[in-house]
Amino acid sequence: MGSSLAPPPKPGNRRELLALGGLLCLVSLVFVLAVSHGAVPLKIFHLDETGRRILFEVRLPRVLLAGLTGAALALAGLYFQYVMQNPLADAFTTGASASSALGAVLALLVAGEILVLPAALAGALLGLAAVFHIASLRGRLLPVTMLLAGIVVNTFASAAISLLKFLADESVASIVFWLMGGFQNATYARVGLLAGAVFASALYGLLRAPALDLTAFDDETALSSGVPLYRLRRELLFTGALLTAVSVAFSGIIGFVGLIVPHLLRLIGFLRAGVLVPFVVLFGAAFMMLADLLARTLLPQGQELPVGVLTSTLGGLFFLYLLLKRKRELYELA
Amino acid sequence: MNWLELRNFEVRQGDFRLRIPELHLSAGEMVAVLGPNGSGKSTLLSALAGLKTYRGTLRLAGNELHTLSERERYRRLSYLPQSGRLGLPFEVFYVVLTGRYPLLSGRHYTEADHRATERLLRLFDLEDLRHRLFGELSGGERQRVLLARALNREAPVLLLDEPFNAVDLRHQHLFVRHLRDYVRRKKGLCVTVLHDLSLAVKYFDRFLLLKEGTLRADLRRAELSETLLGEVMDVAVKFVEHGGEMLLSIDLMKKEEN
Repeated sequence: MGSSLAPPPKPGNRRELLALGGLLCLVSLVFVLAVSHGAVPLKIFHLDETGRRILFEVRLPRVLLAGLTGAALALAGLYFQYVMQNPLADAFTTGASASSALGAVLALLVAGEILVLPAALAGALLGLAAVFHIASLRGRLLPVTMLLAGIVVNTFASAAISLLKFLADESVASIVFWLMGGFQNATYARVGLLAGAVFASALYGLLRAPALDLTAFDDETALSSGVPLYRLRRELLFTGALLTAVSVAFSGIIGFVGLIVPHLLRLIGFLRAGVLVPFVVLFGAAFMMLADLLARTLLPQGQELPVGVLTSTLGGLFFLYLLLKRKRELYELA
Repeated sequence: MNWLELRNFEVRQGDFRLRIPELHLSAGEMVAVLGPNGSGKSTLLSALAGLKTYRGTLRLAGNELHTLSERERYRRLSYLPQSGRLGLPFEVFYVVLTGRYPLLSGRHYTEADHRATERLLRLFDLEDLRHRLFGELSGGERQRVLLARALNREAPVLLLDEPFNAVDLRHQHLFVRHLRDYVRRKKGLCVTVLHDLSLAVKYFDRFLLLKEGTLRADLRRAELSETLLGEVMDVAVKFVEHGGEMLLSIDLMKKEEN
């Protein structure tokens, strides 16, 4: 990935390579921390038989799933931001997570486990299509309208999920727990599937990086720059929905990662898709492994917080900051 | 050579219809599109840019527009819409650089693209803004950046919709002079929607007067008349000769004054 993300010799290139190195170090560091800490502390270089089993059967898949889910949600958020043409879009604010969860719950109650993934994808796509159509007006899309449309989809999907829980009370406990978000159900199969999805989606974006940036312009400018705008939007929406659906199906609803991660990277000056796509994947992974580590270790006596609760608390505060400090962006007075 | 040829050209948009029976715009021309609000100026420009479905014939450099691929089309023409907008943060330098997107042959902007962008930033006094975020600029500064972006493509045909909105006088004249040289040098064509009649009369050679979706007149500078301009624009126009230059005095029509 290293050589393809850097445009040919240009000032600023060194900064990006340095940041790439920094991010790789961060990911490795968090990974080692996350693997070695938890209910049972592990000395990863001096393992006994029990330690080895805990490491390979429980800890490692969990940490990998957390990292990949972080990468997936951050990347989905970035792609939604290109489609919705504003930096406040992510799986949570667009309602994609909730509508995807609705699809998954419906499939679980009606058809069983096999249909969970396709149903989650269908749910996410329906929710996103609704938000896009409600929020876009004559070739432009206002952030505030998008957020309102996202609330509509979120409210509707949450209500529908509550209704389903009410109607089918025997499996309620597991659904509630799953929806709160967490990586307890990690398996290597899930890790493999999510890794494939993240890799393919990131590659898709990297190969079209300059075109992605152009989708941020008004439609007329983008189209008259020769960008196949409508096709690109459909593909980005689908890719983002896919990443969201897989994350939700495996780990429940984990909010705001797709908002926070790209925002922080933009804040320190990484603005172009060619750089943002790989950086968002790495930073998203580190962010979520750390969040999961905290969720596992914050409470005494090995109790766990649902990681979704943690990220939503953080995300809520972050969103509050955006509302207070970035009004211009939000109301698009810009 | 004709850069743009229209025959039995028609664009429909709801109840509005824009019709142009015949029009040829050729190399080296500075064309001003004039007319009151809602006369179809923006519709015309965006249709010429290939963004509207049309009936009849529209040829770009001899080829029917809709048969050209996007890349072929937008290498030859550069369009500046009336309200350019950018929803995500990008620095000024990059915004101007993206104007060269149709020229990309690989996935990256080249050294040559960067050099051309540098040159335009210098030319239009945008160097100091190069690292600023587009969203943080004032309206006039933004418009200058978008104009530089449109010119950065080095396309022979320029379609500019009110390019001087909110741009200060000095930069208006700087830009329009650059446009004139550009058109001469490239044997190109510049079609510009304008509201400023004096700017139009000073720098442009050909005038398309639009009203209610029809082309009322297609005139060279020498053919401009006070009555025709006044009738189309709904104002009283008077030419004043001053030091060899033609100036315009504009007032409301008599009947509207009281």
